[in-house]
Amino acid sequence: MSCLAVLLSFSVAWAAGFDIISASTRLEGGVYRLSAQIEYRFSQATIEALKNGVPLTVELEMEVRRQRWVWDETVYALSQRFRLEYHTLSRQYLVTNLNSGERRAFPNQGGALQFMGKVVDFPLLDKGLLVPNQRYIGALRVQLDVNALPTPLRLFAYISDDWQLASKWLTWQL
Amino acid sequence: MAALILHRLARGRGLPAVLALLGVLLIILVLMSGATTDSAQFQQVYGWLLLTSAIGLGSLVVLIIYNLIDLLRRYWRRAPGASLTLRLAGIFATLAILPVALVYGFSLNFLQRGIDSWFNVQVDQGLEDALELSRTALDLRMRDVLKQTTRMAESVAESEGEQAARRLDDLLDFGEASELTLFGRDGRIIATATADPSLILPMPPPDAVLLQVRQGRNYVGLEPIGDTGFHIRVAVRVAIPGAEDRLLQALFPVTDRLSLLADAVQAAFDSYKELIFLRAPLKASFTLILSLALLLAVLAAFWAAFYTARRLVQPLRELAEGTQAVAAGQFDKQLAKASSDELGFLVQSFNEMTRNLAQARDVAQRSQQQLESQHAYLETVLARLSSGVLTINQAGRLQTCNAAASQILGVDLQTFIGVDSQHIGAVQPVLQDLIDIINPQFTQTGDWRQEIPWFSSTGRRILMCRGSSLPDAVGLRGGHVIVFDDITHLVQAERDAAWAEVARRLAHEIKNPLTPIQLAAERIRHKYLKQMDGEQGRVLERGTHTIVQQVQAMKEMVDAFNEYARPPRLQLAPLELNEFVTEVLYLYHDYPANVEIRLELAQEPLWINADKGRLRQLLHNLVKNAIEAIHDNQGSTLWIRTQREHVTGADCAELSVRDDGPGFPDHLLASAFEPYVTTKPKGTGLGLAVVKKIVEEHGGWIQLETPAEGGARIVIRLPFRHEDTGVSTTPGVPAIPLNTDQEAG
Repeated sequence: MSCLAVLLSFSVAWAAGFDIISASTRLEGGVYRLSAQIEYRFSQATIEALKNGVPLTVELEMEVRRQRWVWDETVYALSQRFRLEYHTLSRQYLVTNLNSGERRAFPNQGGALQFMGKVVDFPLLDKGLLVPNQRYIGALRVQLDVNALPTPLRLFAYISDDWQLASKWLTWQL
Repeated sequence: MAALILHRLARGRGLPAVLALLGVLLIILVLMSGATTDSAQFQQVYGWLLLTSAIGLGSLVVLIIYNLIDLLRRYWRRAPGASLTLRLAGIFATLAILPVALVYGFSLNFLQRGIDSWFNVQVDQGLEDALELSRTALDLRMRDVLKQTTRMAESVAESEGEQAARRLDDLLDFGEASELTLFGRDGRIIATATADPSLILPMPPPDAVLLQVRQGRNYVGLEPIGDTGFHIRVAVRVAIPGAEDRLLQALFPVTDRLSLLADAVQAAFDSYKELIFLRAPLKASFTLILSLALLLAVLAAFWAAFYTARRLVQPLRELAEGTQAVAAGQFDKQLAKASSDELGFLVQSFNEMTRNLAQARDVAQRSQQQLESQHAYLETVLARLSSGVLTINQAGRLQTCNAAASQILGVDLQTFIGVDSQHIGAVQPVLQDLIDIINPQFTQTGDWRQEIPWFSSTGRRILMCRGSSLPDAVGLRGGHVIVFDDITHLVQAERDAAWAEVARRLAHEIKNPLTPIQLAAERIRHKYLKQMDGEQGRVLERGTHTIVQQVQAMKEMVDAFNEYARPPRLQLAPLELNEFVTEVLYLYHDYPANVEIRLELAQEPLWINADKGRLRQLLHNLVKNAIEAIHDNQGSTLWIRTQREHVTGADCAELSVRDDGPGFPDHLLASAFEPYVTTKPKGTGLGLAVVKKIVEEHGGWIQLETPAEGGARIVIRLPFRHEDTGVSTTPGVPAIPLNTDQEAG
């Protein structure tokens, strides 16, 4: 199976938002493994909330879709959630993978974001689950989980652009 | 569909639906307020709660706007009760809104100030200080472990490979570190030692730490592990002369007590800081929920106001509608039973009133029907009467009259109802004489009876009038009733009968001596004419001749009398009048009297039952009479006309003879048909009398007229022959059985 990498370059003009720089899958041992590079640009409001002890949750949505005539059918979907928080006492940024419970501490924000933005060989799907001779595509999106915010903040988050942080779906041939 | 539901809701039905909506909204608000504060289970559905409440409130707003529009439309249409409903709804809504608005205002104020009062500078500072204290306490420990690590780094600097690993194990055993790892410059692990046997791969330091250490600055940092507790990560450069630098990472646990305390301080500080940060959003959220609650309360109050107002006004509206219905004459309107309060009493009273009204109306209708039927009965009886009946009210105005009265007087009296006698006299001068005769009778009370001769448009008439003053009782108010009959024909018949009797007697008495006189005169002449001579003989001759001639004439006259007085012996047979007239008048077609006879015959055949001989005599008499009248004067034309006429409910054949002679003098008009009435010097005076007799024998009717164009006209009407019987059934004329033995006169 060929490894198809999709590389997209974006304008570097700084604006709050998430971008998926690249995403690709690699078939290794009968398992599709996902590697992706994500750039997180948090808005001023979210950074301020983070500094004030509000944890931010980021959700990576991964899908495998079967290509059809009219619209694609999602045959498989899973998500990976990361929580980013600031630890005041130690002045560390903590990143917790909510799926695995793994936690890493970073002395600065850049390190934390870099860690979160790097997906390496994530086991996405067993090849045996797919029907042969069908065309499949992989899709990836990342967004700030507004519903994980404290309730009072959510009211603003629903309506404010500062909190509506999400990337577009990035798709590639599986 | 939606419009129908709205309509039902707006009309006050669907109360449970609205109550359910309000209940759901209330529950949502409670959940939302729970989610805003702390209740974790509703936090996930906060967004949905927000959306649902917006939809619910939106539909309430739509419902209320629809209600309002509906009500306003009814108000502008001036529907009963709309004005009151609008006013009541306005009052209720205002009453409900004012306190709610007051509570809202105060609540908002308390909310703002209440949340602000959670925070104060001292607590803020205290927490900052506690945090700093924890940091300081930990810093001491960190500085200590940094020293230890630096020493350890020096001790492992010389070691290589297996030796380094053993060295690290030794250091771990004697020192406080929980994990020791030696990294190469490229980040690969050279050797590691850990107190936790389950950990296979040590956690590498973040890139930033590596960079910092490579630049010669040692790193020491506190790192939280899991949810509680910390460890201290130390990374120092291991300088090896002549070889590349290495990096020693050591993880030291923090003592449990210190760890717990620092954790607690951290947690408290974090949550306080978060609270401060969330103050504005929290206020906004509370304000939102409060506002939603206010909106819900206001909308519920509005709806309740509409609903209550409508419920209150409903019986009043029904009453108003009922009153309108009663005013429009619908007395059977009954209202639905209302509550047991004063309104219910009002409705009950209304129902009772309409019942009574309906009964009263029914009674009135029944009596009016009775009255009408009686009136109709009376009218029918009056119409069937052959006598004319008039009633005159006290003011002398004509009040009622029947058909016979109009027929007898020859004037349509219906048009004069309510008109006084003077005015009637002025409009119809022909009635003036009659009025003049009757009017004096009104001054006296009691019954009166009078035979009144009266000259009508059709000649002289004799009316038998009976009058009576009416009692001044209820509904009558006095006045007079006059009943009269046309007895002209009766009088005529009596007179005719008398004449016939006289004629018969005369004929009998006179005829008897006539024959002996004639015979005697003839014998005298026969016997003595031969004996006489010359002058004497001529005298005798002339004398006896005169006697015989006069006796003969007298005989003829007596015969004529006899003929007139003879009882009818008719031989009736079907006869076509037009044909008959043509046939008879053929005899006159070259009449030498310079008279032109013009026939104007009807197009259709006119069949009658008649005695041909008698009818021929009638026609001869009429024509002769007319020709003589023309001849004596300067006339020239005689018109004879037949036509079909419809008189008093039956068809008849009309035969009229008109001449352009001098006509009848007025004084003769009434008695022209009586014997010995003549205008002619040579007439016997029996011609028209016989004509009239023949007409009457045939059940007919004869009339003498003076037409406007001059001359005289005699009109004869004979009943039509009935096809089914072949015999005239006209009453008053005896149908004589056909007798072939008897010769017609």
